[in-house]
Amino acid sequence: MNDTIYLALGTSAMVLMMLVIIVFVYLFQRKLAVKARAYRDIEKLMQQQELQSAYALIEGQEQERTRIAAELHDNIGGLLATLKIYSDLMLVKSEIADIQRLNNKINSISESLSEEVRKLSHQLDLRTLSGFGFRVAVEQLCEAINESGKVAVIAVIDIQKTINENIALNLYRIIQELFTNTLKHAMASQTRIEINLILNEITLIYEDNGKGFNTDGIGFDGMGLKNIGSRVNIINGKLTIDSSNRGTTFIIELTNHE
Amino acid sequence: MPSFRDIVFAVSSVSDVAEALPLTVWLFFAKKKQPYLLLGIFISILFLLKIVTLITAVQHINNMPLFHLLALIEITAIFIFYCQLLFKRIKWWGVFILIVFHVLNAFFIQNIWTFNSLSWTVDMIIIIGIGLQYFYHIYNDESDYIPLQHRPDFVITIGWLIYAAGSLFTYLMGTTILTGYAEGFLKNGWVFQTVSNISKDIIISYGFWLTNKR
Repeated sequence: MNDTIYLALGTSAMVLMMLVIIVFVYLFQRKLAVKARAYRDIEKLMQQQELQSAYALIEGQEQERTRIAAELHDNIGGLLATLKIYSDLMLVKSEIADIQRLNNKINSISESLSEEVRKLSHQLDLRTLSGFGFRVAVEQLCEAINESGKVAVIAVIDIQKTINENIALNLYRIIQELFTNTLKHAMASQTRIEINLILNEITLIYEDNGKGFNTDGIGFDGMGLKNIGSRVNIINGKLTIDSSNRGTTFIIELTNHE
Repeated sequence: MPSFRDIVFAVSSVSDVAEALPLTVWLFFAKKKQPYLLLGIFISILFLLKIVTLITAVQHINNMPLFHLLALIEITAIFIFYCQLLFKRIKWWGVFILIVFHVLNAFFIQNIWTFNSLSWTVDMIIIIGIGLQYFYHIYNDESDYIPLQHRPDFVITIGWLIYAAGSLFTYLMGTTILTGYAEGFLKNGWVFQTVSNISKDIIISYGFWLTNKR
C-alpha cells in the first residue's frame, strides 16, 4: 500500500470516530434538553399548585372569619345585649324581689354566655389553620397532579384534629418532594398517598409503581431524599423506605405530634 | 527542512513520553478514588514501561516482550475500569480470558520476540466496543443527567476511543508496516498511532482534572 492509502485509511478511521462522538454528544444533549423541559413543567405545576393552595387557604380563612363574625354577632352579641337590658333594669328596680329575679336572669345568661364562648373557642381550636389548611393543601396538590395527566394520584386523607403548624408545613414539603421525585425520576403511572391522624399519631404512606431506586446507591442523596430525611428528623418522625423495580413506598410515622 | 520521516520520528518520541502528562495531572490534581485510582496506577505503570522500552530501543535490545506485557496491562486496566463504571464490580472471567488470549498470542500465535500486532488489534476493537457500550449505557440511564462537560468518565472514554480508532488501523496494517525492520516503525501508518496516543493522553489528563471538579 502506498502512503496515500495509509493516510486515507488512517484519517478516515479517526474522522469516523469523531463523527460517532459528535452524534453521541448531540443525542445526549437533546435528551438533556427534553428532560430539562419536563423538569420545568413539573416545577411550574408545583408553583401553580402552591399558589392555588395559598388562594384556597386564604379563601378558607375568609370563610372562617365570616363564620366567627356571624357567631359573635348573632349568638354572643345577642346574649350580651340581653345581659345589658337586664343589668339596666336592675339599676332602676328598687324591689328586692325584682332585683333577685333579674339577678337570677343575669346569672343564667352569664352562664349561657360563658358556655357559648367556650363552644366557639373549642370550634376555633378544631378549625385552626394548620389542620384545615394542610388537608386542603394536600388535596389540592393531588388534584393538580392528577389533572396534569403525568401520573394518577389516589389520595386518602383522614385528619380530623389540629396539626401543629410546623409539622403541617414540613409534611407538606415532604409530600411535594415525594411527588417531585416520582414525576422526575420514577417514571410511575400511579401513586397513592394516605394520611391518617389517629389519637396522637400521624401516619403518611406514599407509594408509587415506578422503577424504584437503590437506597444505597450514589443517586440516593441527589434525589431530594436527603431533604426528606432531614425534614422527618426536624419533626421527630420515623422514615421507612422500601424500593424495588416494582415501585417505592415511603412511610412516615409521627407519634405525639402535638 | 525536516523530512516526513523526521517529523514522524519526533511525534513518535513525544508519544513515548506523553503519558507523563496524565500521570502528572493524576498525581497532583485528580481525586484518588475508584475507578480513577486504578486508571492512574495503570498510567504510572504505562509510563514506566514506555521509558524502559525507550531505553532498550536506544541500546538496540529487542524489547518486544515489553509490548506484549504492555498490551495485556493496558486492556486489562481498561476492562476493569469500565467494569467498575458499567457494572459496579469487576468481571473476573473477562480478565481471565484477556490474560489467556495474550499469553496464547505471545507464545503460540505470534512470537514473543516479534511485535504483537494481533493482540493490539483485538485490544483496540475491544476498547472501541467497550467505549461505545459505555456511551449507550449513559444515554439510556434515565436516572443519570449529569452534563457531559462535567463527566470525567465521558471525557476519558473519548480519549480511549480516539486512541483506539487511530491505533486500530495502524495495528491492522501491522504485519505490513512492522515486518521486523526498524524503519517499519517510522512509516506513514504509524503516525496515526502516535498522534492518537498523544491526543488520548491530553484528553485523559483533562478527564483526571475534571474528577476534582465534581
